[in-house]
Amino acid sequence: MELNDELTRTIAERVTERPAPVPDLAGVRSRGRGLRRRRAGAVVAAVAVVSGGGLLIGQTIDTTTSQPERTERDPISGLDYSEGLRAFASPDEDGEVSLGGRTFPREDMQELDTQATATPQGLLFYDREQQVQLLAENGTVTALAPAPGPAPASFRGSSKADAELPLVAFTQPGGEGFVNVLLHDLDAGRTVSTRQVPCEGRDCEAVVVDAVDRGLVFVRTGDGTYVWDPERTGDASWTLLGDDRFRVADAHGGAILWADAAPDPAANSPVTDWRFIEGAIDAQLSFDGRHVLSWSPKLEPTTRADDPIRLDVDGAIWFTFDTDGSVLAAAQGGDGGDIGVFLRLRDPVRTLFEDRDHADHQWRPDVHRRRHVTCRWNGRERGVRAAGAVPESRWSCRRRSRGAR
Amino acid sequence: VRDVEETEFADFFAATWARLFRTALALTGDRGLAEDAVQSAFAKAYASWQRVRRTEHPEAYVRRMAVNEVLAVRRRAWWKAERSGPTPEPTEQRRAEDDAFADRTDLWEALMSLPPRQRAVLVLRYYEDLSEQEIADVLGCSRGTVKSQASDALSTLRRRKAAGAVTNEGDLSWNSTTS
Repeated sequence: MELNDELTRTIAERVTERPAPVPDLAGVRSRGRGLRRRRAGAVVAAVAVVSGGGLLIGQTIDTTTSQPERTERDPISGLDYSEGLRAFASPDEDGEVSLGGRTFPREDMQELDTQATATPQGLLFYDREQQVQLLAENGTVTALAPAPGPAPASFRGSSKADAELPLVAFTQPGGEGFVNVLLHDLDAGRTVSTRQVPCEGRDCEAVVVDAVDRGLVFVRTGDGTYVWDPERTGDASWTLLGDDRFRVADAHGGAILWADAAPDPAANSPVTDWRFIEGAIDAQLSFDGRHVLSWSPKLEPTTRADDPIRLDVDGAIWFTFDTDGSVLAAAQGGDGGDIGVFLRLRDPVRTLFEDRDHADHQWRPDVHRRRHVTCRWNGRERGVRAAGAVPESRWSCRRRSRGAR
Repeated sequence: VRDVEETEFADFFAATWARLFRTALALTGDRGLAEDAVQSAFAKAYASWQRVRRTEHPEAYVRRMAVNEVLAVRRRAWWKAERSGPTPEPTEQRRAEDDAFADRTDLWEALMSLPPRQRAVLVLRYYEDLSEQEIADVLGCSRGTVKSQASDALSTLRRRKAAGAVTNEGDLSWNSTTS
């Protein structure tokens, strides 16, 4: 008998030699209801992860070669990055990851975590060998740089994207005594410069890319934060911005959002004429640097010329910028049923003010499996109708009475 | 979940429970673990029933949940083993064990000794009769990965056959005609 047939027969015999246990429907229902309750409470821990947050992936990736190359995995079909990556994840154990209009079981995307970075060209993430990969819109995964040497167990890569230029910066293990910081041009498909940052032992863990703006890379090390300007040479290419108590939270549009100790840039720093804005370490700058988004629907201006922006979204608790500058907001399902509703707020800085009389164009919701959420804009109440089996479907708001289903 | 959906779920549960339990049993080799995994998968399906019921194949959806329950339970334990490289050649002790490896009991034990994802590939192929693509969908990996996992698994069985006598001469290759 052939092995294939033998396997079939062996398995069938083994699993049917005793009857299946009596099914416990009541137990399933009870446990299922508990799950629903926990989800409703935890939902909104739902993490909208983009532009500095993290997310996705986890299928097996073959990255054993020494040169960057497209991996052999089958492409993921149906991704659409034309309106931002729309990348977010729900936190529950059987939660889902959404990306480019598609939704995947989180358990299938195990490699995606908060180290991932969303860019208009795709999602950067670290694979298990600490090699940086790009998941492009066509569903292919491509290594951005040759596989690094063996990574210390404590190594945690970091990456950030430039909002104006097609540049990303990321760290990779650089061998004994070094961490490499690479600046990569996503449009050109090549690494434009690499900086070796010397470090020792656990200090290497402290080497982190905190931001990239206008081609400058903000690199935190054990003894302070530096600005790396790849277009300069010598000492001018690596200048101190602040000591080890100073932190860069974000940098966009020639503005630097900082936390903790004040910056103390070197005289020859390329950012001496930039705007410095003190804020929370987990806050984010809008891509033009004119507003700060900090876990609230109210975006505070960074200049006196601008006004605050209020995103009037019921129940939204988690916010982040998408790759096109719009805001993703996560809110809890309105009927206590399934979790998360993710609302997409288009171009809050530019569009909401300029077009506030055209509410239909001001924001469009992406509903992530749930329904009956009340949302309003300019005092007008809108409802998001029930999401169907395809979570990535985009739904239009429709009028309804408050509390109505 | 409304009444009609409650009834629908109950019917679905009754129709599919035993089948999914057997699949989980083939994956775990342990009735208790299998029951836990399937119970957990059905609980999650119940919690999301409005979504699950609208899928094209609810049973396939819940099967995937059950398989991943099994793999998740064992993930920490088997991760290193699966990532550590090629399956080691049989040791002398292993060869001695393989000497007695001549019937389906031994084949079952050999199957159970495989890394869980390799085992899952074989169970889904030879018990569930799924195609490579369907297996890839269940395990959340590419078809290429399914092929390589199957190849590794069958190679292991082949080596053990050479060391003992798993079965008579036969086709030990992964049947990749399914798609």
